[in-house]
Amino acid sequence: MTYVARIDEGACAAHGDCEAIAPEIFRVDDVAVVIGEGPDELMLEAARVCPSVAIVITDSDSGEQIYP
Amino acid sequence: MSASVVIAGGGLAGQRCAEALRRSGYEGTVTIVCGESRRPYDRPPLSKEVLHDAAAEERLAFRPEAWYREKDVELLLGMQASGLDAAARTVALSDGSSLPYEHLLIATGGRPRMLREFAGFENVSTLRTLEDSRALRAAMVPGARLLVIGAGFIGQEAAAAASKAGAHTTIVEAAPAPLAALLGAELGAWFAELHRASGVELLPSEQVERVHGNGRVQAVTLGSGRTVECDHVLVGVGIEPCLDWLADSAFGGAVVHTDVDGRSEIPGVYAAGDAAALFDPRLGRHVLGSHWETAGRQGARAAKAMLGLDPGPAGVSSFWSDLYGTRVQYLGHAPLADELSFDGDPRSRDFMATFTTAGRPVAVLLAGRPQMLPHARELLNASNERSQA
Repeated sequence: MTYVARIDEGACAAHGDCEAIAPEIFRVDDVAVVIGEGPDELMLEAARVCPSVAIVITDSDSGEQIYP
Repeated sequence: MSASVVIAGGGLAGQRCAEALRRSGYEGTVTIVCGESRRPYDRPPLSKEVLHDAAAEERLAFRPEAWYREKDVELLLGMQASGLDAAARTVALSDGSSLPYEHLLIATGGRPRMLREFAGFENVSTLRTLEDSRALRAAMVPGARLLVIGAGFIGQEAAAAASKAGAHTTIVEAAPAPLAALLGAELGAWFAELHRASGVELLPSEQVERVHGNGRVQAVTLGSGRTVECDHVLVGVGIEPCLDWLADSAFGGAVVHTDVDGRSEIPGVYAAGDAAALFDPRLGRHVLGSHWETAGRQGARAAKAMLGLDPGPAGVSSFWSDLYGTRVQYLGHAPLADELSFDGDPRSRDFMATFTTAGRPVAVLLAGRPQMLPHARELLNASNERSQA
């Protein structure tokens, strides 16, 4: 669990796919918000599914951006 | 006048308007008039996962029932707006009652167009509601012959789902290729190949000349003289805005033109989504209807405009689709372009197509490269700023 998710609020259109996949990590209001932590793979899956590509995943150990 | 917002229409634009009102701290009454008898729900899955997975229906509702209680948003299900008295600021409802409003959002959406020659046959459907999606799913059994009229997004997604379900699928399209009017011949041919590679027959540059059958369509004869037999027909030839209820109003039933934030010329009346034509400053004209993302943003922006808040920038028009496992994303306005260039092989399912006019990017289509979307967005935003500078 070294990945950290951030929402690009300008890009998010509140599709809600992230909340459907990982409700313990994301909640969708006007835009999605990060509300918790979860397995790296789940976080990455939510980021990949997002039609707006509004979830930015970073590895907190290396500082490297994982997605997009 | 007491503080109240009436939202005519329980689709995405209406739902997002209600959400944005409450998120912005609005304390007046909020009422959504929903023509359908179920809570507001998401439509894109109706032509995608819901067509092959009944369980996906459970994930359609935007919000659980409790949300509407908690947020004090009243849903009038199975009720329609039937008239508008803009001078008295009241909306007439289909049960004979009426609702006063301080602000009204016209978000009654659109209904699928039906072709005259197919009207009245029992095995012909359109796709807009959950009931439509269920009817189509029932028709998509292995070995069934599905005829899709129109290669727009609804037709293409339904054809992809039908092929996955094992149905024999034929698409009839009037244009030389799918989406050719929007994206041009080269990308149109790319969409055509997607279908053919999955065993879906695409018949371009064809019109329906004659429909055979009594009560049920058994076959159609096309302009070329070819006859296609079928068990079910899906007509996917676009939508028309639901504005009949405004026929006797100040709008006269015509398309409701608004400014960039959704304000109409009539005080207190706003519009969003498929029933609205918002002014697009990039194009310098009003644009009727919108894709999913735009409709949602329009609803939220109208809410902020009602409250005198800054709605923020309008964002770039966009849509996405999933076809045969390939995600397709589109941003901007391709018809403005005079040139098309590719990064990646345009025959593959992994490329970025950039539309430019005088060297300036005006639209991007991504195939199988969702991670490139932020880059595409930046490209278009930078290009817009340059053109406005």
